[in-house]
Amino acid sequence: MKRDTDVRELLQEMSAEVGPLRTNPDMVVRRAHARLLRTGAIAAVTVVVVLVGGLAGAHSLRGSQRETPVSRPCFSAKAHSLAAKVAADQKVIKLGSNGSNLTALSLELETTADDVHGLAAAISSADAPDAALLTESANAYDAAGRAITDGLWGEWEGHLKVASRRLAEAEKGIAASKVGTC
Amino acid sequence: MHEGPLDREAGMHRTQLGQLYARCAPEGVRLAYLLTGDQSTAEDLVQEAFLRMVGRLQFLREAEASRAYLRRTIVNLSKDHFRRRAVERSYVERQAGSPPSEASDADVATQAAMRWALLSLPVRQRCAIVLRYYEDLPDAAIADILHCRTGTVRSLISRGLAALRGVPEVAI
Repeated sequence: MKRDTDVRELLQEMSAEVGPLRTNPDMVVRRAHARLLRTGAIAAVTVVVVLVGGLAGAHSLRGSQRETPVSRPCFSAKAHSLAAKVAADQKVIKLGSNGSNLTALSLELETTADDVHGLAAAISSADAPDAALLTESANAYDAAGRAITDGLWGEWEGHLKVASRRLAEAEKGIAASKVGTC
Repeated sequence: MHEGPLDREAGMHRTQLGQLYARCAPEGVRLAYLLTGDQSTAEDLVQEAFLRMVGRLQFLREAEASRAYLRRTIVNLSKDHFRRRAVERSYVERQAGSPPSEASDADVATQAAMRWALLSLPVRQRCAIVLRYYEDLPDAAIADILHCRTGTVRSLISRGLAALRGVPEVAI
């Protein structure tokens, strides 16, 4: 193993050439501390940036979800079905005007009036121009119902006609403006 | 100015780190010197290796683990050092000079030639030879440090020794 021995000797002799350390250990330790502090500061800043970014992202996502329009009712279809119901009511009322079940007729008209009021409120919140017509129609239904209850036979039919006409106008307006289309 | 408990703890920590450096540095500088052939460079590499080791002290509970980490870091840093320069050959030649064949003393000439031959080796061969014959590490440990297989380590050592044998003044 002469070869190995020679190499070992060479390396030992070379390593012996190294003199005493010229660097001050305190200086190295200070540098080590400074680097540790810097690493910690960078890590802390990174964590803060990631957290702030995450919070901002989550906040903006929540905000965009809040701005998403809620599913709006299909006003046109609702107005159409309401008009059909009103037409049916009118037939029933005409047939029943000579009968005795006035309370049921009055309740039917109140229900219709409530439905028309609901539609008017929904359209009003959607800034549609036909809300006033619908409100007028609903008020006319209310008046017709009261006329039937109060036995004012000369008035209820007029109120009902007004209500029906306003509802028909509103329905056309809604269909034309395409507010809340499905 | 009163010294608070945190300051005292930091002071103790600093003292311990200073002691650790004083204990590890000479050995590391010798290894780095064998790899680079220059004491200033060797001290710079050891300082950098020590700074990296301090950042990972919580994972290095045993003294032997610290030594191994420092050794591995020094080898990696020396490889990086030569890679950065990209003129390893010219650097080594500048540091080592040409083989002093005209030296009068035969032993001195042989030593100088061997030194020149060693520093002229490619860095991986030099690392393998230094780790084997100076640090007395087994093939597996050298392979772990150099990120290669044990067969590659044997090959590196064999080629390094062959290159050393090729120097006329080196009788190995």
